[in-house]
Amino acid sequence: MNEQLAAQERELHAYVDGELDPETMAHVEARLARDPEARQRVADYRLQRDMLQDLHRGLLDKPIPPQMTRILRRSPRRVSTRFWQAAAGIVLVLGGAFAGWLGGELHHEASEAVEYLVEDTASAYRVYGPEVKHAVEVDGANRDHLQTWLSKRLEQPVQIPNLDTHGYRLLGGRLLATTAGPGALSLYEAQDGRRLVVYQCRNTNDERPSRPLYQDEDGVAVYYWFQNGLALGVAGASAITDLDAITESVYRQTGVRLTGS
Amino acid sequence: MTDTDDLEALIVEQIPRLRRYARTLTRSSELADDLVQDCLERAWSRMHRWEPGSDLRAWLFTIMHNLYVNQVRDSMRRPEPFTADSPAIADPTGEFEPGLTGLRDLEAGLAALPPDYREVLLLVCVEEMSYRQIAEVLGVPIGTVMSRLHRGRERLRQWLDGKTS
Repeated sequence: MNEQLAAQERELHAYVDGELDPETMAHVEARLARDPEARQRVADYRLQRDMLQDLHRGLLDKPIPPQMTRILRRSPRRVSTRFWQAAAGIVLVLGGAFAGWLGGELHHEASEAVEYLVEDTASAYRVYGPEVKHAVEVDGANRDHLQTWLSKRLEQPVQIPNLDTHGYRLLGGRLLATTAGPGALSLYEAQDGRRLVVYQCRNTNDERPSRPLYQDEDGVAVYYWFQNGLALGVAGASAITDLDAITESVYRQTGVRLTGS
Repeated sequence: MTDTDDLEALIVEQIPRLRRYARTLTRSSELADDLVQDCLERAWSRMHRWEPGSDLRAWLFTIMHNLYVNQVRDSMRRPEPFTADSPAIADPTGEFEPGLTGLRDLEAGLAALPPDYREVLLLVCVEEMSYRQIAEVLGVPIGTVMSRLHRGRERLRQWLDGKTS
């Protein structure tokens, strides 16, 4: 399909949407005066706009569901890990039913599995990000081997994403010891020396599959999610502006292969 | 630095618009509110990335767009788990007032559009954002915004023509 729209078409839309400078606008109006077909289109586009504005307009006046504003009453930055550890201690002491209540109330979005995932991912980045000599056990040139080996150790198919299009080359990977058993780490490096890590371990807590969510872990940018029996994380310096896009790419690659299973 | 309470108020102000956009986009009130909820959670957890004084609405819509794209992708990849509230299923509640048949047709026509076109149409016509803002929200060049707008409008026109003739 032709991506490039003819100037005449563009002008017509820009005219309807008030995006034209006065000169071009006069030009378009002159054209409209002699072109009934264009006139009809402008009228149709305007009608569409009016109708679209009416669609679900009522929602603007409806009360906002309380769960939406409840989110905003939490601290905008995450509460420190130490607090959660203390809370977890209290939970253990208080036991069963009350623990469930406390967990539900305080841990609304960050379950323990999420906490571990985020911390392990950030910590892998902190440890292996600056490592020069022995950052990886298996070199990035042996990607297939890395994948087979880590899949075997995690007893789950592990996909080592390719981030070449984002300018991040696979340096290689390594096996990690994590709270959820064996973990797979792949390390990437950009031309300017910036690094990022992709962390994967088993989703031992059966967390529900999710989309990547963001968390700032003391200056390290972490995306985390659950997918195909794995808990996954991407971590890098907060300064990496396209970490969003990179994460999307990882998410796509780690998800695609397993559709049939 | 903006005070947390101020921030909260600024965001709350945007919620109705986010809800309307999500509702029109997904055609399910349940799915829409989930989307808004996810969007708010994500926004709130990365509030430090928002530059005070910059366009908060555009920033929130960007986050919502990214979540929506994920959702569409997920539902295409894994049809089963999403069937219950798949965006492909129109909300059959008939909540439109009698006499608003036109709007129902419009919503059905909108539903028949690819999500990319639908988003551009809504951001242009309902949110009345500039093409440049939309390009930023969607992360695509302005030329792409305009060609999606063109195709969206033309398809919708054909659809509505077919309904009235």
